Amino acid sequence: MNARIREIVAEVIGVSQAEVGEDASPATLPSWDSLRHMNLIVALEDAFGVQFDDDALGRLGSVSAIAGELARARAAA
Amino acid sequence: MTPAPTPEPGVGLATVHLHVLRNATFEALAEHARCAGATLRLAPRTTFSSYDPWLDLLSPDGPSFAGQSALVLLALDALPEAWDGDRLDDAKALARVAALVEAALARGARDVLVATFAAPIDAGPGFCDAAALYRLNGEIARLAEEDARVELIDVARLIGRLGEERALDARFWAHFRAPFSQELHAAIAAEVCRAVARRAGDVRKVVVLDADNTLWGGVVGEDGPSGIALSENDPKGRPFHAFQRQLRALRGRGVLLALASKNEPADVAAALAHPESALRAEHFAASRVGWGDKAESLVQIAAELGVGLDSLVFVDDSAIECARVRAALPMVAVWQVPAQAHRLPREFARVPWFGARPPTEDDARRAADYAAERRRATEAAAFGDREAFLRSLEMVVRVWDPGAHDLARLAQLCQKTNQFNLTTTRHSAADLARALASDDALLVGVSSADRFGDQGTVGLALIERGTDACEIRTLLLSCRALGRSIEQALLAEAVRRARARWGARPVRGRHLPTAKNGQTRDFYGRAGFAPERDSPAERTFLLPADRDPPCPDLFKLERAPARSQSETRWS
Repeated sequence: MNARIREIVAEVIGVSQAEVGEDASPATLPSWDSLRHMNLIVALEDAFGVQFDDDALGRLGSVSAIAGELARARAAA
Repeated sequence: MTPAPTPEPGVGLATVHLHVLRNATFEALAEHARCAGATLRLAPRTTFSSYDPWLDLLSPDGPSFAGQSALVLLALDALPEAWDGDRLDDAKALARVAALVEAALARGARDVLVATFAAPIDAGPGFCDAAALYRLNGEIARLAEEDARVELIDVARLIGRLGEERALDARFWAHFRAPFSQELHAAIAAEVCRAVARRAGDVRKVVVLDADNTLWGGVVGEDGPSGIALSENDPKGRPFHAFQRQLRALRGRGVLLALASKNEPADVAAALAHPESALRAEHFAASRVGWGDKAESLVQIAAELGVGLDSLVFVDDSAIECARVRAALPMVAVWQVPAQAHRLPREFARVPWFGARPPTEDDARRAADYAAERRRATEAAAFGDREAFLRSLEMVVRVWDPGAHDLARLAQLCQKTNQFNLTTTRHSAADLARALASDDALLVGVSSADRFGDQGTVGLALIERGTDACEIRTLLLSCRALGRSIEQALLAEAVRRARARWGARPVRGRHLPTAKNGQTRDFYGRAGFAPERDSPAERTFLLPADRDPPCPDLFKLERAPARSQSETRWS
């Protein structure tokens, strides 16, 4: 799953997949701004068929965090 | 959503700069505008004001909009000064909008697109100040109506179309101050691009219309003027009636109407004289009704009306005619009538090529002038190569020996086919069954398919052994398959089979003229038959025993002993 997440992050944030490590975040990738973050949410929800709840939206700040929230959202679904 | 037309090859994208004056997050518009623009040959570059656009604009060193389009798109939720409790102060909100419009124009914006408002996501339970909201939107619409540089983007209507649940996004509103869903962004971007394209000059002046299954339901040459569907009181006719009324209204706004139909002129005239037809012959500024190529007809119509081909919109129900025109005349805008008739008026309402501005007196007169000064244009040679086009269809024509299960469809063709029908003999299924059982008669069926789909069984020939020569009693081709040289293949193959069975004998063909079958008058002559007898009631032609009718090589010809099982669905 993490590989697929990195793929989506790279595409939406506009960087190469090599730049997206497990700890990649808005702090390490300057182009990960709030607008791209919105697109990222839409893309992740489309790709994995989930909807994040409100609290989760504030916790999607890195690839590993995204993986955790995706797992939680799938378990809840 | 209707699929977007493919951008025309060889025509570059025009860059337009769109600046959005906004008080909430609408950034998703940029990407949607890029997609929507590509189909209209536009490459929009979208920028956004700060969340306080009045500050941007009202400061003396604010941005210049020279040559740009400005979109005023605001969220009522984010306009706190417009609210007094749950009452909307529409005057205050309008003043805010008008200030942006004026400032953008003052700073050189080429045009300003101004959006209407919908009830905010955060409206209180059981209450939305509808009276004030409608007043506000009414005044915004008036801004657009009164100033030719201002165009309305009716966001409230788009939200109504999608429904609030789909159009508004409470979650993104809460998290990002982004009130609109992706879907609504896409719909707004499409409207904006259409408006910009029109204002950049992609306004079409002429709608060239096919007739059968476009202006009315059915085929007038087959069903007769009383059999076609165009009445408001007939469920099948209602969409066509509505479409005709839309066209009349367009004409009232100065758009010219023209006809390009493959038909007998008398049939089309009779249909337009139908008491319930909203369109009459005099509403058409130019007309080409006959059996000529449609791309050629369009070139002639443009020349006759004195407009460029890039002023034309071509409307036809046939995917093949549409593809033909797209290939031959890429500057013509092509719109295919939806297969489901009920979608026709609704989808036509969304075509991008006609402005919303009410007609001026000049516009209305222009349409009348053209009709009055109708003149014959010189033949233009700028149309594409018909043969190359037919080849590009990748047609497969199959000629086969009918069996008992084919007779119902073949008899139906005998009853219904009027236009390409040499003798118009109405054989019943029982007649055809007798022919099938006889050693002295030969029945041949033909079906066709191409890359757009199967036409199914489209024609037949019935030949008898005769005395001095084989006699072609019937040869017909459905109007769906005309203009593609299938009739030549049918004749060549029927003659070949007759001679295979009865030896190398002469073959006689006859033409019995009717009001409908004028196009078949010289069919045998063109196929190498020699004229024999000529009377008003019948013309006969004889093909010598040593001559074969030419068979076109525009398609793959399959000779099948019987119609294959997989074709059963065709009929």
